[in-house]
Amino acid sequence: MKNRTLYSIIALCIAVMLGACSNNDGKCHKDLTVRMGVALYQMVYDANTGNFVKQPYSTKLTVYGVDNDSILYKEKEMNSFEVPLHKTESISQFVLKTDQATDTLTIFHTNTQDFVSLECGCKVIHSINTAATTIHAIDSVGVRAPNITKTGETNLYVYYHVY
Amino acid sequence: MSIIMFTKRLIYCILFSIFLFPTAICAEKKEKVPKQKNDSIFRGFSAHMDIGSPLISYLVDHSIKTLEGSVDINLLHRFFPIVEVGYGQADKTMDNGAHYFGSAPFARVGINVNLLNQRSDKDKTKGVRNYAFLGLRYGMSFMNYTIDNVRITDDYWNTEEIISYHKDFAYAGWCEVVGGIRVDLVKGFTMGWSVRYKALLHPKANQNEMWYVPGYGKSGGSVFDFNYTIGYTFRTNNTK
Repeated sequence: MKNRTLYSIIALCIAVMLGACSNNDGKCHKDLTVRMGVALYQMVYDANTGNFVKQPYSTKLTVYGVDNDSILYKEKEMNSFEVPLHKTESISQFVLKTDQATDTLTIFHTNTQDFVSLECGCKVIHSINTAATTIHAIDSVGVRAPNITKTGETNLYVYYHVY
Repeated sequence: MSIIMFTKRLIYCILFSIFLFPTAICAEKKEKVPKQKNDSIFRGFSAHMDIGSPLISYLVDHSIKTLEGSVDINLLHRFFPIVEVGYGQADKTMDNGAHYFGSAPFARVGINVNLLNQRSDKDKTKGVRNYAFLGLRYGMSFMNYTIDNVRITDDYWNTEEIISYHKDFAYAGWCEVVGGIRVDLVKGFTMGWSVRYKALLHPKANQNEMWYVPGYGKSGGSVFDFNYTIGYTFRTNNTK
């Protein structure tokens, strides 16, 4: 009887420890923001072939959201960048400023809420419907991958004029 | 990392003790006796209440409340078909303000197999008093849950949206591997403990939303659980 009581106490202690160990900290350790990847290109005429060919374009760029004071990139030399789209609205606009001119890039998108966990809440993923731009320094834009489910992919091409 | 290592060691210890227990008892009972005829298959049944789960819930996580009981029948002192029924509820508010409420009854059906060779006892019609077992279960629960106050915060655009989810009759089915012991206390009262490994087989809802499944536990992955039960064993007259 004595041994049974002892075994019972030991078993209960083990159970409590197991329960305590399996309890997580209740905090979210995941990044819930996905960013749209933008790559910069120029269409350059190739005299050998007689065709226009797409070439990566690098320029000093300042990028920020319209009506947003927070600058994402400031006078940074780059040929690609990533920007966060609105999680709660379906239009996101960004100012792209080079030394030559300033353009406004407009993205029309659909937002989808993807519940991650109780600790983290929702991740919002986007689907680009259309993209438009002013044509000062930029020539045109093209959607490469409309579904933005993770950061690190190129979703949009921006073609700059050749000066 | 050290806590995970420690937990793994504990689990190995429990499983090791489960397998050693019958080996030690079997070693004492080498005497072979002639097989007695006219044994009835049905040898009795037990009704048990789990007092381990409510106690662990109270000590570890106040947001989860669970209560369960079980009935098993003794067939040939070897096989113990079992039905476990209970009710579970989770009412949890996370650090981020998200609130989860879910409650439902649950049931498990399965069988325990006595690991001890007690059919070779001198008086083999005598009821099994103490035994170690391994078992399998299939568990199921139809649950309702609500998640509210989930904030979608957009740090760059400085916007916020609050959303809610609700789901009725979300089905979850899972399987369990069980190992444990059952011992006789006094005058038919018995107690037992078991360790369980559970794996969620088919949640018929977004598994991320089902934070807690009654009878299973937190649905984030496979679960180790523990039950400590006390109850009464009714034995047939010829096995008392």
